[in-house]
Amino acid sequence: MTTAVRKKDKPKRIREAKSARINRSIGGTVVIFLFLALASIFMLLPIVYTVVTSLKPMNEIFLYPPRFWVQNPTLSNFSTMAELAGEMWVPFERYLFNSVIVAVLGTIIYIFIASMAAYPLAKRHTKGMSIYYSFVIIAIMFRPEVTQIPLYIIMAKLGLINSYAALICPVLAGTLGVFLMRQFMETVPDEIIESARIDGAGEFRIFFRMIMPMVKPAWLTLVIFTFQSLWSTVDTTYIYNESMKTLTTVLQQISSAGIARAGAGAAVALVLMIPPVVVFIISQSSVMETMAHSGMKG
Amino acid sequence: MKRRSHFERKRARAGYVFILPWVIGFLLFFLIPLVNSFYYTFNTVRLSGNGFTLTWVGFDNYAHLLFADAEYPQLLGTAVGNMLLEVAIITLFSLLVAVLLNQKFHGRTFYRAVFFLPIIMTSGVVYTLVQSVMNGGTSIGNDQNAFMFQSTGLKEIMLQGNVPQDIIDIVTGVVDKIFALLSKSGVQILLFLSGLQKLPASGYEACKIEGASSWDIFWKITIPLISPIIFLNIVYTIIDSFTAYGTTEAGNTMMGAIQNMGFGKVMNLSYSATMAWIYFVVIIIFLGIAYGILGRRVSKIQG
Repeated sequence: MTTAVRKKDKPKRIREAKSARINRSIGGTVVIFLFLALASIFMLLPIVYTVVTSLKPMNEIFLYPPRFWVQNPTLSNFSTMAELAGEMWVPFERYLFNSVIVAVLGTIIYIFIASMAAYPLAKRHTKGMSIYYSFVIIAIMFRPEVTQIPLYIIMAKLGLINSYAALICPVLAGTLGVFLMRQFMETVPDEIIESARIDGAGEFRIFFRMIMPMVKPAWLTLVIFTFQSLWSTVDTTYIYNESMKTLTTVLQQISSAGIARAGAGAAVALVLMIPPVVVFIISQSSVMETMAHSGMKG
Repeated sequence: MKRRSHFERKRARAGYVFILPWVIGFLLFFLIPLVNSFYYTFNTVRLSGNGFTLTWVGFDNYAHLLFADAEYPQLLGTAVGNMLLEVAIITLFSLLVAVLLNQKFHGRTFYRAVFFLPIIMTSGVVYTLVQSVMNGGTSIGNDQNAFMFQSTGLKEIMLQGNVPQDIIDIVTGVVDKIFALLSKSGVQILLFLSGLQKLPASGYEACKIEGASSWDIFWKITIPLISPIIFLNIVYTIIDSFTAYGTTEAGNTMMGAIQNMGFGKVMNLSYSATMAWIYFVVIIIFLGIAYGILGRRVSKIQG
């Protein structure tokens, strides 16, 4: 009993000493707090203002000089948005379904493709890999817009116009994810992989059972980025069929119809923010879990 | 010649299997279209019926944009100046925030969430919508909003206080950009933070036992250890700055100009492609400079 209590006691004391040293002085802590508070005000203000604007009635939106807070909050902007969405030819759920399918499927496929490509790049399976890596580096610099016209021709030839694939495929060619994953996989010690090889583990086993769990924070981060970018894609190039359009495309059309839609635009922005925020919260908490876990073990 | 072992060959084959899916996507949806667009820069592209007709014009497109066009060189200059400012401010700010967020204090989780939120809206339609709500942009919102989030009020106060014009310009310039700059640093904060969290705690403990001050530990242990992440972040910021759809208030308007030239009213596909290609050569030059200055140092520390 007593030994157990002592064992518990000891790390606690160490932790106390450690935290005391981290927060050297009250002054330092106050400075950290003030800086973070100030910076987070700058970070949050645009979002808060969007929320506030979405609750403003029309006469308050055009008030001069403008007021930050809403005087008579109303949900009329949301009902306007819902009405406008209801006037579309296709049911609202269909747009939502399209968006979710594209974002979820695209994210999963891209995480797999990018991580798998990053593994041999990071661990140099052959000398030829450096050529692919230079392709990755060069390709990061290009935005899809540059290749839009030739890309359209290729899509048309492959018969991908008006399909989910037309929205997902361009993302799959993205190299930023490959670059990020490679950067993190490079820090996985070679010795661990080597010892797994000696123990007879195949490359796929090493990849899925060892590498991927070890770089979990990296690919969860990539999940956030990829989902966010797929979700917010506004596509008017590859999709003509109304029933294949995504929610984001349709809502963007609603909000861009002039100054009278100012409130509805803020409402749209708010609604479109929700799914990425949810994905972010889910993956972020497990990112922290992973970190806490590995921290305890280390 | 050294004969490769069975083991090595097997390993190489596995490597190619791993990279194959991405290579296929890359070739089909990136490299081939890219080469095509490069070909367009030497041609005049005209829409005809259901396709394009190409007429070879050599370097005419390049000559026109660089020497005859009034706007293009100016756009390039703005983009470069903007990039330098962004790299400096964003790298410093995100490193500072990441180091602070990596400390232990109450409310850390809340602050982390706050700083990552902008990632969710840094690109795409949500960002555009929020920006236009903020700035009273063209699509939604009204001009009065700009009064609140820009330095118009500040400028008046400073003018009344007899502050020299030069200082007013610099201060208002930074203030006008501050929302854009800070909301652009979410990814960098995230990268720094995940880099910092991977640093071995045991090394820090050893330093503390040896009596090193926090200041020394930061400069002599933390900075060298995360230098690959610093480099990664600088590269990311350069690319992000160059390829973002900026507004006239903050950022460069090059991407918008390229898009307009190709898909707007003018519909000049060959000029659009050429504008993009010149722009990317500029980006490559700057990345080359960054790599030349920082990349070697990083590999030296690592090696």
